[in-house]
Amino acid sequence: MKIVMFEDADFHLLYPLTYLRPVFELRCGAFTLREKVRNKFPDCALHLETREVLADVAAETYGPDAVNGERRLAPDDDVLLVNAGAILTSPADAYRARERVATARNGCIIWAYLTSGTVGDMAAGSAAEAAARAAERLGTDLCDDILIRYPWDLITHNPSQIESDFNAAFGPGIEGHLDQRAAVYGDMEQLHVGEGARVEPFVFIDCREGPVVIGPGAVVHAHSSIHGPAFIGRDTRLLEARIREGTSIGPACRVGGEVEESIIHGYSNKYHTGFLGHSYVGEWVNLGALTANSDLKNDYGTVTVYLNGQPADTGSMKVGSFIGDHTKTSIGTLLNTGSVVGIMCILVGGAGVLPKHIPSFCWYLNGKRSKGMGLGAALDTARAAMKRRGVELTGAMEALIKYTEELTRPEKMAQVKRDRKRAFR
Amino acid sequence: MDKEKILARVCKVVGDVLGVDVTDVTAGARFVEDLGAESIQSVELVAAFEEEFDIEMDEDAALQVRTVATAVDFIADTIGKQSSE
Repeated sequence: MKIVMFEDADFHLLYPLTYLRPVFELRCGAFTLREKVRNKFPDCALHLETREVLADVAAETYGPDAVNGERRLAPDDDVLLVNAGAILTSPADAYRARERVATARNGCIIWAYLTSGTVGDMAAGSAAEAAARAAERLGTDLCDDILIRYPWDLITHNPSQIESDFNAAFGPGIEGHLDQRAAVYGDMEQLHVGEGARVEPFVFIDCREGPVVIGPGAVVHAHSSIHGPAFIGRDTRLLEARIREGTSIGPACRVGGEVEESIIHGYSNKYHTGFLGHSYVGEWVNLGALTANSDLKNDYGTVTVYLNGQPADTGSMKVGSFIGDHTKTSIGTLLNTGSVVGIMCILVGGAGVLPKHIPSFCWYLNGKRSKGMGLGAALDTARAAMKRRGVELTGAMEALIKYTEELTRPEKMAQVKRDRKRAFR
Repeated sequence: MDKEKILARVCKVVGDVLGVDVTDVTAGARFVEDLGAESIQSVELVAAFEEEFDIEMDEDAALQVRTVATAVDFIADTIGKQSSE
């Protein structure tokens, strides 16, 4: 059997997190959605289908043959088509038991298992189209697998995903250094310290409510605390951090202050004191000292989030901020409940709580959204930030950022003009 | 619009945004070295010029402007282009 992970037409519901990455690269638990599928089916060829505009960037990571390859739907084997937002929760064998198309309650296809004979009849076009044709021919079944549709879905499922990823891929073990003066409260069988990781004296790890994974090369500095379920990615450093339950931090981050039920994708910094709760932070983000976000309204009502500039009720009482790649906040930035901040923004606090929607490439300054320094300066800053971690801004990524700037410019300019009208009235 | 008039309005905007005495804002003054503009204020200046002259400035090009005199030239040029569109 081979596998094709495909993005469906709703990738934009996950903006700003999916401007610069395919849906299958989003993180939930200890892994990205793609890594979860890879782990479940380690022996199967894995093909990826994404938007054409992302194909070059994805191909840099996975190789040109693995991304939007012409042979991905060739009828040379049985195929499991998997939605890029899917988290498959059943044992691997359950997905190849019989030919079928599985959907969520809203009718979205989560996965389809097709024999090579059927694939031959349906393979014209994309995997998403093939899955839709299969659904028409075979009918559909409701399934219990998870489909990530909105940014807050990642936060909702993160605690349970850390637990299932711990059981599936880590398990207990101290491969790195756990100082004897660090305190582990609860079951040591719920702790994994990866190779080369270091846990310093006076660190407090609480495994009573869930497992804690500290990835290879990570350093947990003295006076930090970690409450499981929690995942700390490779080479990340915690600096007197208070990591509360349900938090995942990707690779090469620097994190201090309080973080609760949040995901930091990777290569981002929140070095200092400040609160981050029920939030998803993209890559190459820097949250300045005392940046804090609200994740609960004072009236305990459900939180509204702006999706593509339009308000959407999350139906949830606890929702934080969704922050796009390369965005930076100044000291003392205050983010409102359910804020959406685009990519490559600069937010300067000090004028009270920020508006809930900051389009990509905006500067928020003196209480209003501004045009910012331009794409050239934004790219220069991105290059400088990435170089500090030994990563190059590739030509493909630069082209994708330029495309995204053009895509989001009308939304940004409309907001800038509205704020100026108010300010100069 | 002639450049003398643009210069007078530019000097007033610069004085307001940077919080400096308008008499210190001369044609030859450099925004960063002489008037103490930070990157944040550069963004504010672009916004204020756009409002003052009802124009739209390309951010990358506008931020290459280093002196009051070149700002006047840049604005005059932008007004000319955008009024003919």
